[in-house]
Amino acid sequence: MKRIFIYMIACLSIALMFTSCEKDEESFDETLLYGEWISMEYDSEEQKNHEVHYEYLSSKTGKTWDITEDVQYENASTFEWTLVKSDLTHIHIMEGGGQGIPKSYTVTELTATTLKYEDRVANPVVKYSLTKKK
Amino acid sequence: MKKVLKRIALALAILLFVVFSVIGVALWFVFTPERLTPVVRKQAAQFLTCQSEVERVELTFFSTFPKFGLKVSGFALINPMPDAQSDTLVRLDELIGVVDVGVYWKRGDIVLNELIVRKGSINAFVDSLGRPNFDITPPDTAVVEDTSASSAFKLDIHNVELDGVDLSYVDRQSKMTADVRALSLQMSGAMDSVNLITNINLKNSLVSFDFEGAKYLDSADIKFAIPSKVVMARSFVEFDESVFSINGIELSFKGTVENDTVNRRINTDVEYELRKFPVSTAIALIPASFQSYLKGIEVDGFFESDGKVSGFYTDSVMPLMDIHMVFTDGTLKYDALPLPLSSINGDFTFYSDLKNDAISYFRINSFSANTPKSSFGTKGVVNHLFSDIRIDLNSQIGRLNLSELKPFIPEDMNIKMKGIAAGNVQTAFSMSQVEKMLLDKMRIAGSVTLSDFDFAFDSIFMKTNKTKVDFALPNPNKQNKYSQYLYSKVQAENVEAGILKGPRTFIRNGIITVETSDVMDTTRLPDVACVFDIDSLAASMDTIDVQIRKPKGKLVMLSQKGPSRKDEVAVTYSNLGLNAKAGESTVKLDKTHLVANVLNFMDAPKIDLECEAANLSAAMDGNSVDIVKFSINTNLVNDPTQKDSLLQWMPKGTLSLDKGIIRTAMLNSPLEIPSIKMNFSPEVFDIKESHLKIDRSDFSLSGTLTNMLSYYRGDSLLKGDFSFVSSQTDVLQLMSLTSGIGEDSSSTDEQTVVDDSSSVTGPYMVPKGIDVTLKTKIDRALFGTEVARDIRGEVRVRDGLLVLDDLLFTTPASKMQLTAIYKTPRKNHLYAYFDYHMLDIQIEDLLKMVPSIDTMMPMLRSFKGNAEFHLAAETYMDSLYKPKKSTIRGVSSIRGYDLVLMDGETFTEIAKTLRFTKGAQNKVDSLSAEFTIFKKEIDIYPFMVVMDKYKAVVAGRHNLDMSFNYNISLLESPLPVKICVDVSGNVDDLKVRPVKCKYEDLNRPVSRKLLQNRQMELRKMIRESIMKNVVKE
Repeated sequence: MKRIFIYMIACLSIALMFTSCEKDEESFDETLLYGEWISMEYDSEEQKNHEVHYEYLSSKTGKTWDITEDVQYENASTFEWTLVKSDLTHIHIMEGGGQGIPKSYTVTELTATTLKYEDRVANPVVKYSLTKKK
Repeated sequence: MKKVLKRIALALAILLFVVFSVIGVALWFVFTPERLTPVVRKQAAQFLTCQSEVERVELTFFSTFPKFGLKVSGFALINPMPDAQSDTLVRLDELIGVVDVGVYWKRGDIVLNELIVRKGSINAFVDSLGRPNFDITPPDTAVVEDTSASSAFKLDIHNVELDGVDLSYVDRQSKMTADVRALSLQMSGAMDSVNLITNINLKNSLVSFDFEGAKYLDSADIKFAIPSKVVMARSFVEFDESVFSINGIELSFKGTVENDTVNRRINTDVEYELRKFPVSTAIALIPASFQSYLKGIEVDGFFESDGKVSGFYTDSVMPLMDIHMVFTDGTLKYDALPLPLSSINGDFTFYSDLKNDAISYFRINSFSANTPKSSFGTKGVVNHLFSDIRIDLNSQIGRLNLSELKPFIPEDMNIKMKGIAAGNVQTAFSMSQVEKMLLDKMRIAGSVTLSDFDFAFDSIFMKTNKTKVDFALPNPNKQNKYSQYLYSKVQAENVEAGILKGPRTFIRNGIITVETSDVMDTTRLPDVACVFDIDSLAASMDTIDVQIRKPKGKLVMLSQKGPSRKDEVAVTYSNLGLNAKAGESTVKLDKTHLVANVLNFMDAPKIDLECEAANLSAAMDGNSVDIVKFSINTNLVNDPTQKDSLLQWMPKGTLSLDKGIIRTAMLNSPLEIPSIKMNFSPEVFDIKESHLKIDRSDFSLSGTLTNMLSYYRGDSLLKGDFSFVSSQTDVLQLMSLTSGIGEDSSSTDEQTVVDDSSSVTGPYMVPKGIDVTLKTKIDRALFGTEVARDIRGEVRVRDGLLVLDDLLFTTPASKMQLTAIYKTPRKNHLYAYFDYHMLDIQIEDLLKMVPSIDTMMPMLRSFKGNAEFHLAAETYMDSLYKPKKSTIRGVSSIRGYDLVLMDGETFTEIAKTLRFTKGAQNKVDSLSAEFTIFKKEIDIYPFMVVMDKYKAVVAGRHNLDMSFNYNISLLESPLPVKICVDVSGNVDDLKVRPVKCKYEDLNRPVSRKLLQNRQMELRKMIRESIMKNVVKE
């Protein structure tokens, strides 16, 4: 019985120990997102960086365009976005049929000049770092 | 009786003997010269103031039988004066006078029966002070008796003869000298107080006459015979048949002349005849002082004339002259005339009183002349001589060698001309019309034939072997009331005209008729009617050659005529054949017929046009058009307020085309046009019927194209609504035909990121500025190697956007629904969107039809069986259709039932890890998956695969670089534990490793985690969004 108790105490301790180690999810101020951001995204196939722009609007819509691929602002793709705590979700709206393509990211840093988030679906995790366009 | 007669005869003989004896005694014994001569000398000295000489005076009877005469020999009057040509006034060898003494004794009449002067000279002289040497009688101091009461005076001269007498008259005061040599004259006459009747016959004389130093006659041989009667009271002279001759120029005349002192006029009525004489003789008579007028003129020939002069002569009135002149065998050289004339023959009549225009005329009865190489003639009338001279001539050009016209052409004009012209010309015009160039008032008509004509003016040339030109001004053809000014008809056998080293035209057997209104009226265009009928017409310029067989037609151009008072042009034209060549380009036509009418062509033309052509064949730069029958019926309205020349023309009408074939480098195969029928207007193109074939495509197109004018103005899109019915259509080929329509150079010339090879063809650019909808009904459509059948739906092209809207069609693999959008904002920025729905398709067929699905879901290769597939994807592409990865978006949903899991390499690996039994059926009961595509990432949302005793959830990401990362969670299996694996890497480097299960509660909604629920919601959203476009049949 004593052994069983000891095991239970140990398990509980371990459980409590792990519980205490799990960090609370971080929250970010979404207003800091408003504006145009520039991301240099490496294309391993082409082995070169692409200058990708994102524009977050307060209407929870945005645009993205890849300068390197000769996509200009007027041809930018649109998306809807939400930022819940650190969960940044883009739903890219298809131009042709209006279908939505959800993409989820985890924001790790958001300041007035810097935005960093991670695509944790990818394996390994893909990290994005954006700077605010002045 | 005999005895009586014998006695009477004897008595007469005795009487005659006595008489002649008495006369003989008187002559030879009583009135001897020795007795008479002193008497005469004494009387002469008494009556003359000058010295006189009388050598001998004798009475004659027998030589002047039956009259007594007085014969004076050696008679002279000597009256010397300074500077006189001679001291002797008169010297006569012999002077015989016969006077009827009895009459004078009885009635006091002087009857001079004869006065004969033989050999002698008379020298009359007037000095510079007017004193004559013939004033040789003493002043008459006797009282003038009143003779009115006395009996009438009578003088009767039976015969006056001068034979071999020289006369000389010198008048220093008047500076006049007259000299008559060898005068032989016979005169008779009678005079009383009323009449003077004379008959003067000048048989011979050589007359010289000088006046003021000018010699007017020089030994002129003058003869005349003039019988006349003078009524002295009326100053009336009546000439009987009279003849006057000077140097052989003989003038005969007859008539009367009267000095009408009451009316202060001279009345004439004289007929004359000037007998044929050499002109050179007459010219020789012209005084030297007047010869200068003939300088540079050499004229010869024969002249004769006859006529009549009648009427009154006053200061203001001339008698009427009816003069007929004939000039024959003449020659003329005149410095101002570059060509000498020969064989001049003319017959003229001059009828005039030199006053009255109404009756005066100069008629050329005939005139002809030759130049060295030409001959011509004319006849006609010239009248209105004293006001506006009017000339009415009919001229014949027997043969005009055009090379002779060279001297008449100014040297600075580089004109060369040769050939022969022949024909006739009628002219009627007045001088004022010529001065004012009033061609519309003149009458000019004729017919001229040109033979071997060769003309060149600088680089302009014209040649013809034979051409006949008929012309008339005004137009005698009264049918066309608007073009009565000029008529011209040209009949040419062979004519070549053009510019050296430039355009040239050749006409063979052509008839061209032109009628015009006043071409000199500069205030408006002339009315013209032109009819032509030509066997063949050829023209060339540079590399352009045109040959027309049997061109025939009529052109009528009217200026401001008809009820509308508007300009009008009407054209009818036809030909049997036309060949044209420009460089390597050719056009051929068989029969062509054209009717056109242009109204108000000067301001806002309105054109009605009907044109039919058969067997049109054209080729250019490897492109060709062949049309068996072509017709167009249109009217065009011009709007001059438009600045754009194209917008100024508003066409409306119908077009019909049969059996056409177009071959062009743009098309790999000929475009066959079995038929096209359409109506068109500035705004609307209404295609009633059209059948087209190109290579593997054939289709019928009908419908309307609207807003054409607005589109051209840039006001709106070109709108079209067509029905496109085809048994077979090669889609890609038709797309290439319409690529780039409406593109401006800025968009097509933009910099692209493609290699040079792409610039040859470039991407398909959706036409801009148009909004065209095709309601398609295609039995068989070819997309490259793929075939789709029974296509129904709309294809819409709107301003650079191509939409295939809910197109239903059948492929060998499946019945499909397709909505596609393709737009081309820039050449290097092309957008494509596809919304596929395949409701029943074999997976392997699906992978074959859409190979890119294998990229997105490689695991599909492991399945076989029927599936339901939906895919919506879009991307922008560069000019090489290479997707711009940043713009790739897509969603897809797939459902599969009773699928067979194939023994694929991947499955084997998975089965090994999951410990599948080899005997297990590789059947999958169902497959339900959704995935999205974003950039190069393909996210496969968790889906369940049920197979045998296994139930697994698969989810993960696949990248376009063919790397992937899947999580497979085995929810149910015979195994006592749940096994989950991550499969990552790529096909060549596959890594499978056990991991914590992510989706073990996916099939238990109550147990799902937040993330799993979220993903299920997204799947539902994806599914719903893609299914909303499925059309339910």
